[in-house]
Amino acid sequence: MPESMAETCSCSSSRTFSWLVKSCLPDPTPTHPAPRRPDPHLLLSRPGNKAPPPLPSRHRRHDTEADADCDPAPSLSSLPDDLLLECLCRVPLSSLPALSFVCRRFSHLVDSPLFLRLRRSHGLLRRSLYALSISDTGHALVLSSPTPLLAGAVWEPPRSSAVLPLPVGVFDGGFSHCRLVPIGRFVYAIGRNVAICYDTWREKATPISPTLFPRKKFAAASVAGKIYVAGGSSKTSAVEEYDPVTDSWRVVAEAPRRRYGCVGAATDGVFYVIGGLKVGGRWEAPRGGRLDAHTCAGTIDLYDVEARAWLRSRAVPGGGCIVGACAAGGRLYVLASHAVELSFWGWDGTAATRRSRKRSGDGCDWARLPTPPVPQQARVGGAGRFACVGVGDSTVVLLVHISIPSSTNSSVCAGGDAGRRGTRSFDKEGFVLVYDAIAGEWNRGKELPPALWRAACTCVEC
Amino acid sequence: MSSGDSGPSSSKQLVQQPAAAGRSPNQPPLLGAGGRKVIVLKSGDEEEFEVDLLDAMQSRTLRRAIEDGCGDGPMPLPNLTGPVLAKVVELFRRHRGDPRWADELQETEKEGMFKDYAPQKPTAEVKGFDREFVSVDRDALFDLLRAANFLEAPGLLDVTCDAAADAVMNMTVEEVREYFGLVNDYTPEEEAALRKQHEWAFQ
Repeated sequence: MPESMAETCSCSSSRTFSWLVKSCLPDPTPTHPAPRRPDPHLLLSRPGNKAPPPLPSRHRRHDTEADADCDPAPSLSSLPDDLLLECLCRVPLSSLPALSFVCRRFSHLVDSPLFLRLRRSHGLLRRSLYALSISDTGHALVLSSPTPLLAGAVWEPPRSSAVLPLPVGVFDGGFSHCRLVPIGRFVYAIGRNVAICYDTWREKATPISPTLFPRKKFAAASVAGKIYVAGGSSKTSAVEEYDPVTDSWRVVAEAPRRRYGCVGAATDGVFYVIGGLKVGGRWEAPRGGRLDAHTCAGTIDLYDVEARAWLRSRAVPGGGCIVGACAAGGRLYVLASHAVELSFWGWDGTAATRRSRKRSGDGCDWARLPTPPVPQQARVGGAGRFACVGVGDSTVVLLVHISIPSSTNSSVCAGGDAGRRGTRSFDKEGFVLVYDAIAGEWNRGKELPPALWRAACTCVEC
Repeated sequence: MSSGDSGPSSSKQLVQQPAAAGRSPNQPPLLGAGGRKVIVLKSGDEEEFEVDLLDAMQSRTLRRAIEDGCGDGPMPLPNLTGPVLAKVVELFRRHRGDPRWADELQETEKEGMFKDYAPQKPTAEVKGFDREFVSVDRDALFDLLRAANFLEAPGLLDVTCDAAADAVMNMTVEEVREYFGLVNDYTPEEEAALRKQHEWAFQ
């Protein structure tokens, strides 16, 4: 022990306290003959003394002479932003919305990405799944559920109402197959020629600029606080970037393939444009490119947002069509359909991207994961619609909507409300499965009400 | 602030802590045998405090100073007053072994100096101490917050920030403004509009 002490403490006086840049150095000669042990009873004030004095008057402690010299003491009621953030980020979620009304500075602080990062580092982020269905009447139906969605979870309307009136003039039917992209507490719903931003704290939707090119069934995801969209149009292969600060879109790249019906995901600064059918473009085959459909269905284009460059495209093993995908915890999860079978894959996007950026060799980054317990009917092409939502670092929520002609046997498995009769000649079923990547298993999640079976769903962390 | 050129022999100059004098029975037991390394912190108003070296390591600022070899003389901390420093030193002592910083310490520590210094979960007693520690008025709490920021002491920052967050939690918007000494810089029209839209936020 003394050996190590000697090493740690041997002092070169030249750099003594060079690190204390904030300080004004007093005379280092001790003035007190003997140091004393701290007195545990020496409190700054008594517990009962709670009334805060009027602001900014300078507070006097019982040893006033002490303050006079060295204490730089800025106005006592002003804390620096980093300290304010540390305090504010610990306020419970229910009290946070009111903070933005205190002043512009607070509003700025609680909206900042750093605020979310701090809450994440303190383990205070609460994740909620939001299901949003925008109806023909110009209203949106909103339900949310805390995650995990397992035992005891409920889908609840927000504080005010499940029915969210949309801003006047926003609705023109363009929200069918809209894409949801969460950034912080905001959910951006992007449709064809129309888009809104839903503030989950204030439970209010405001219109935002629509994409420059009209798109439907496109890929969308957020990277570093901006939204990227690609595909969904036969007229353009442009990748657009949305900046929420300026509420503006701009074209940042041209995609290598024009995809329709693709899905988007992002992790590690890479925007994935996944699956879909190939449409339009110069390589166009006769009859709208449908002959080329399979060239897109199982492939993934990777756009490195910071480098503004496309990385090498990938394909899901086994030659399936990708029917659902999302990112969670640096991994990409992909649900592929192989005519009458499904397969579920994890792809180590972080490792692969790193190698890809360094242009070093290829590795086997795909891992076959347990297949979700989806009823047989849904596995047959076209009967099932799937949507994957990444939740946190290790959870994937899979929303399944099955629609099959009612003439066939309608016993739908997975333990749910089997055989629910649709009003038309279809049996419909909607349920939710939750994949726990740590345990490597699927569980049944809390179902959405039928009105929201086809809702867009996303995970909000705030 | 002497030593300097002494090299390995400086271990002889280490202040030896007087044998457990003044310790009450319910204080945490001494770690290791024999004399403990103690450093002296000096507040801006020239009050000096002995603090166990291991306890002082809860502050990244102090740790850097100690690792730079500045722990042999009184370490001046001019922007902390005596009363604040007294409280901080007491908290360091009570948080001994707190996992919130002990993990980090054991990772960075190379010499095996803290190998017996196992992190413990904060006991009910420590939690009670923490509650008492922040039962102070606003200005005193803000002083402690600034001290935590300056000292880069995660445990101290946790306790004080939690207290501030708790204080703010049930306040009205006006009370929050007063607490932090902030001025409402929204225009009356903006504020009226905000209030109309979000009445529930104001109770």
